[in-house]
Amino acid sequence: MGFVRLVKKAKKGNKEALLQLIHEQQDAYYRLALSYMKDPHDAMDALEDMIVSLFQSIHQLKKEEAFYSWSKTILVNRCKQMLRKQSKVVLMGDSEEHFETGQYPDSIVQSEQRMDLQGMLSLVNSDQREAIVLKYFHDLDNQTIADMTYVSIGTVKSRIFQGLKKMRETSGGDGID
Amino acid sequence: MTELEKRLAEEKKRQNDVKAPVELEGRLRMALEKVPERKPKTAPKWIAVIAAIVFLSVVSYNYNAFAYYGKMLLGFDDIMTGTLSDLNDAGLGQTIDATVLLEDGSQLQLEGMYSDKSQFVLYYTYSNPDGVDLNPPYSFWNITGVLTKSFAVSGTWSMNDEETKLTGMQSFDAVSPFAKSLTLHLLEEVDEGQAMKEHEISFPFNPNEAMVTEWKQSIKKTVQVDQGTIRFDAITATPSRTTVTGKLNVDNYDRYPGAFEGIQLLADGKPIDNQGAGVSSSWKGSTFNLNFDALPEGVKSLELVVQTFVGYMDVDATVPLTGLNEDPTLIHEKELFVRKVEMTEKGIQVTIATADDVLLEGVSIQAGERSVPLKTLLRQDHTDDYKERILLFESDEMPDTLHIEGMHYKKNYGDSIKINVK
Repeated sequence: MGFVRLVKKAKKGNKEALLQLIHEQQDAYYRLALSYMKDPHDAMDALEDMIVSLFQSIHQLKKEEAFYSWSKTILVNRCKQMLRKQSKVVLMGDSEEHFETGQYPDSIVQSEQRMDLQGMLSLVNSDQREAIVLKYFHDLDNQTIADMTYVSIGTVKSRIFQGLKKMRETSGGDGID
Repeated sequence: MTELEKRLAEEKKRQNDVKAPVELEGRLRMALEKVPERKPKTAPKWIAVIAAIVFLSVVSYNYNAFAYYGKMLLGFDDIMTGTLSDLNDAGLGQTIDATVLLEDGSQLQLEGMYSDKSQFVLYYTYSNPDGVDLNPPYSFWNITGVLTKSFAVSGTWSMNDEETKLTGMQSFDAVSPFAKSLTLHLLEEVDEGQAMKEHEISFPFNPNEAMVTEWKQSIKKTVQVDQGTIRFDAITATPSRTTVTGKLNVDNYDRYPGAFEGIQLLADGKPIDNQGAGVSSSWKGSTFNLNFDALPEGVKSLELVVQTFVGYMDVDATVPLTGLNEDPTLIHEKELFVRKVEMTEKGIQVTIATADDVLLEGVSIQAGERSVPLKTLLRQDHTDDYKERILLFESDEMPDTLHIEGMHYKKNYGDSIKINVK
């Protein structure tokens, strides 16, 4: 498997190697950025920022195997910085507009079931929601989520547990609706 | 796994359908190219000398923008839009004869191209006697050449009845007339989507055949809308397309889909077909481009009309939620239907319907002295003419009224800008 070799090449400043690494998981990166930024244009901007940061700091990456969790952590940081600049609501905001911007019918299919789940997600607090989204929709492990959100693993676990519990309660038991 | 975890897993599966846009790879590459290398290497002097020679020879290269008669492409009638088909009939274009063999045994044949200052269009067929997939395993990435790096923009295709051949066209950003040869970069999904294989196909490019001229005129006019300004900077017309570019400084432009559809380009008083719009945002602000069909020959007057665009109005309206009937409440001539008010475990749910273009701002319900703001939107359905949605409020008291601070909607502006035609 050439993955570690690619990371080593990228560490030496090889741009093609870095592009290839991102390319292998580009859908996952895009979805992660989109879940924070909501707008495809902003998501692309965040990804551009990310790849520049990666290139500038990859020589500091110690464990080659950790490339993906490291780079996604950087992506999430960039997204949050951009959101702060735009002073938008963080992650799954709860105003009406997020569901109503129907500009991108391909990427945002508004099925009823999803609405319910999103509705339930909007009922838990933003820290819990962020942890649940990162774990269940983006397949990230607890340690990476902890790095992304600047808290301990224990806090991540507790946020996920408490968040899921609240979602179950508000939807009336384990069977939803 | 609990029911909730199953639901989360289903949602994840659904989200996995969201794929990165094709242009992502190109954008990342461009972003990275702008970053200086970490260890700058000092180039020997002779490189600078060669660079200067190359530069001079590029500058002295002349091409005749008007001698563009090439060959006509056959078999692409289905997928060519009116203007491109006319250009093809007139023999404007260049044939290509290049084939790529894909891993699954199917083949991609590049048939022809059309190029002007606004776009590069590639015509191709994808075939396999054993049948081809409507979701082909390849994606167009970019085209490179001298002074050229053009990314794939959009494409369309049609399938034959036997499902063995797909005939398609793919547009790219415009290529440089200085290129003598172009290389198409193609990505093929292999190992069941686990890996990507890159193909490169080079073909000769003769701008004298494939390239036609353009006309550009600056506009520099600004239209005031409720929540900002639309500034029109320039119009560029080529034989295949007309593009208007400008800057957008409007907070709520995305509050309803297709806001730009209300901007018309009139040539001698007749609207030109609108072919879409794009907005891109950066820290400097947003820029937009509006694409229209090609201008008719010998056009004498051109006019841009902002017929409709997104508007905003403070309404400060209170709608009763008791004694419901089927009649709508009129809020500044926009109908608002209250369909249902119910108390649920989650809170108070209010079902309302409005026209498609209406988006309410600052929504709350009142029960006696108490006012509760909107918590979230639970569901939205589009019926024939209306958009119905369920609003959730965190409250355990049946409300008397619904209060609305403002409204985004499709507003008639009617501003018009004359464009100088010379």
